[in-house]
Amino acid sequence: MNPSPPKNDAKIGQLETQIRHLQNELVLTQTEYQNLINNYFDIFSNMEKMVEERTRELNQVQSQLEIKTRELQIMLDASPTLIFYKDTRGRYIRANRRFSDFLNIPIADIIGKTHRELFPDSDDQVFLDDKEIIRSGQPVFGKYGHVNTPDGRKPMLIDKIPNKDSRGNLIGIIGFATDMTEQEKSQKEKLDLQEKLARSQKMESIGLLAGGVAHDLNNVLTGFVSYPEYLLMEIPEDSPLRDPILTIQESGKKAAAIVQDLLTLARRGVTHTEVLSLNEMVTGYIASPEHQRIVADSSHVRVEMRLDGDLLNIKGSSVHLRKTIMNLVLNAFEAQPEEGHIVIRTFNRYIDRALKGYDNVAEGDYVVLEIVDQGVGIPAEDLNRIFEPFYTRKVMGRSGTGLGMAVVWGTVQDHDGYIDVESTVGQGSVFRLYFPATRETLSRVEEPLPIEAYMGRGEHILVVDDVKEQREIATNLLGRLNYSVDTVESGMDAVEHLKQHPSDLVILDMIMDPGIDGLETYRRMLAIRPDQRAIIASGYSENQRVREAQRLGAGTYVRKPYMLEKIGLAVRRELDRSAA
Amino acid sequence: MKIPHDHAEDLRDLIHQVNGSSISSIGSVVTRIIAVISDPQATAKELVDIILTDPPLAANVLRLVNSAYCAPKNKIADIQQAVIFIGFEALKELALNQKVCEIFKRGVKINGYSRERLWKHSVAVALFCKMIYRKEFAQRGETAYALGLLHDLGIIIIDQFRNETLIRALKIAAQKGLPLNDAELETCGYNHAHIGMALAENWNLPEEIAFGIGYHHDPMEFQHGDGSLSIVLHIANYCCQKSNIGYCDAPLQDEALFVKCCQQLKIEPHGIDLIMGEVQQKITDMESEGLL
Repeated sequence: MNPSPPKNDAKIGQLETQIRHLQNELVLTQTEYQNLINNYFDIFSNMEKMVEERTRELNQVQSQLEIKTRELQIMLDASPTLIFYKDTRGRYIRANRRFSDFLNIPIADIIGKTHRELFPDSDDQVFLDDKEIIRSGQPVFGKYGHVNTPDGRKPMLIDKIPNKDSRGNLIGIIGFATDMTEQEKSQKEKLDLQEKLARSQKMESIGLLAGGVAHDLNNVLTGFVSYPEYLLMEIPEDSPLRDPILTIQESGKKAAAIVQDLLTLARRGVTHTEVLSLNEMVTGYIASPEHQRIVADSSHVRVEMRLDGDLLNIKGSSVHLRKTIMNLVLNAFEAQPEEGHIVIRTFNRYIDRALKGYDNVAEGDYVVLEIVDQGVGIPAEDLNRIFEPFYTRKVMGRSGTGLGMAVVWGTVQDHDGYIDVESTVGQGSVFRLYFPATRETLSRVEEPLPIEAYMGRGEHILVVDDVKEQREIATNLLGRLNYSVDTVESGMDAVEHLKQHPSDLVILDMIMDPGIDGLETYRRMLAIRPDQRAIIASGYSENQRVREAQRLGAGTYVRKPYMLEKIGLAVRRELDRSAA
Repeated sequence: MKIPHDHAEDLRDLIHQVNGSSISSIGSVVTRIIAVISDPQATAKELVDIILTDPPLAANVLRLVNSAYCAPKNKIADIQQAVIFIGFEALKELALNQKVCEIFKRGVKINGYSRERLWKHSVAVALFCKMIYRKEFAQRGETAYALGLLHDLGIIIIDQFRNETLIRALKIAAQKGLPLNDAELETCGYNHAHIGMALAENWNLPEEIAFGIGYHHDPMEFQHGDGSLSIVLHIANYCCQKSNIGYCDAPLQDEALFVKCCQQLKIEPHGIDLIMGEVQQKITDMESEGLL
């Protein structure tokens, strides 16, 4: 065997070493790869664990989110306010239960719709101005709008707030709408009440003034009303003075009527509670000379009457009601400068639900007087003031007192009734007066009494009055009725007089200024003569002091001015009562 | 390896001083990395956890992984990804390298010695040790790698804590033509091998590493069992110094001892030459990437 040359040996040795090295490296690399694979597996499983952990965290966050969402929904649904979310294109993306209930649309039908799609006929800008809010990013508070609901068109107060995502981008709006129906109603009621109160207060103060004036005027008027009556009795039947005196008497009576108007306004008029038929009142008025005169002056106007044959009766004062009818008809005529119809209508009406109108009519049985004209009408802004005294847009007419409508108002108030007025300018007006109906039958109609029924039998009467004219008139009237009359000018004088001269009857003026009044005088008289008969006379209506005097034993209350029949009857009745 | 009593006292003081310095915190991380390296059951996750608890180390590791040396296609953003990309084995080495490097890369250059050159030397020795194990014994040689990195730790310690001693020892070595370890012995009664071993013991590094450091200049005196680790280290140290890679602490080579070492481990000169070639190539690569 040939030994290899040393150079080759060395080379072979080197190669052997190299191969050995490579072999070793290969073995190691194999194990290392195995390790690496194991390690990768570890790392991946670790990552898997991390993913699981993250997933669990996410699930937790999600369930918390669900809880919060549920809480929010509960709060939204419990709110009495309508709450809604819209996206930037104005489509509803969320609404609370109240929203759905209020509009009577299922939530599912709301979501995804725009306001216009839900309410095609809505033209309310406030529901459609979302774009403006989204553009400016500024909230809008307290805007008014209306929305149609199954219960009708409702006024809404609306707040809108821009809705942003977590990065501050605008994603739509959140809106709140509050139903303002109740608030508006109560606000309106409040205003109505205030207006009514103001009206009442005005009437009240006018009434006070009127009452004050009436008292003085009444005394002045006595001369015009009573003297002519006396004069007519004194002068011969064919005296040329008879006509002028009759005119004076008529004027006096007219003036007395105005005073009565004033007193009516003062609402101090005696509340008569006769049972009356409104139909009779109307026909009575139509037949009256006053009405005939008006008709004669206005031939272009036709009056038509539609009176309900089965009309219920009412309770009240015929004088006031007659005046009321007269004033309304007069008014209708004056509103009618051209040809036209005036319709006077009566009918029964049962109100079972409070009626809204000029006045709010409470439920109950009513007798309605309706007067319709085709005249000029009353502008809306005046409608609230037409019943104020001296408020008129027309030239002071034939009624002349400026109190006509005020009397109507006062009368209706005194009768616990209501007024309803409808008017359109250029078309005419409708006045409807509601009077509470009664089932009572008509009062017996009193026949005028012959003078003999109340003639005196020479009894002695003491007249106590602080006004000279009043004393003279009383003396004259009572003298004519065959009484013997003494007069004194104060309560103190009366008491002194009675000490010396007993009297069958004392006629007491209630108000005497200065000095003690009628009531006090009566008390002192009773101290001397416990069964002293007396009647009260006054220009004022019956009041607390009058009633107190009557409680002490005074008889009839006679309202001034003195009239023959009135005073005669009162005196006769009282004397007969005491005699009995 | 016997140190006279008074010198032993001095050495203990030195170790105590080191542990009171910032080096001790580096040491604890190094210890933990080496524990992972020397435990075949250890997982990549354990290493990742160590790196993550040391943010500067993590940053360094990521920097290196993303450097041209490793050249990933996509930027690697976390240590987990780094494991997948460069592998568990490479990451172990990288982490240890970076951490030990923190000890070396501080301070200034003094005559005849620089820490940077010492570091380069250490890396070369570490690579050499590992390759001997891999190529000659078909073993992974990870502990040998760690040992290579740490074997001259003692020099750094003297440099930092006994600077005068080092300067004197360097002078003596130059004057008398002595290796540094002998000059140190003459100067203070112990040398950097003693210091390194003492520190390794103090840090609770594996015993074989401590002994490896302690006997790297005289491996044949090792009597505590299998001394092959010390012998491999000695061979690597000898070869690197001979090839002039980095700092050289023993200019006069004891060739007889080297040959004896090679014979003991049955390593042929061819094998040494092949390994040397590869180490040189790797060091050149690393230098060109600026990693040394």
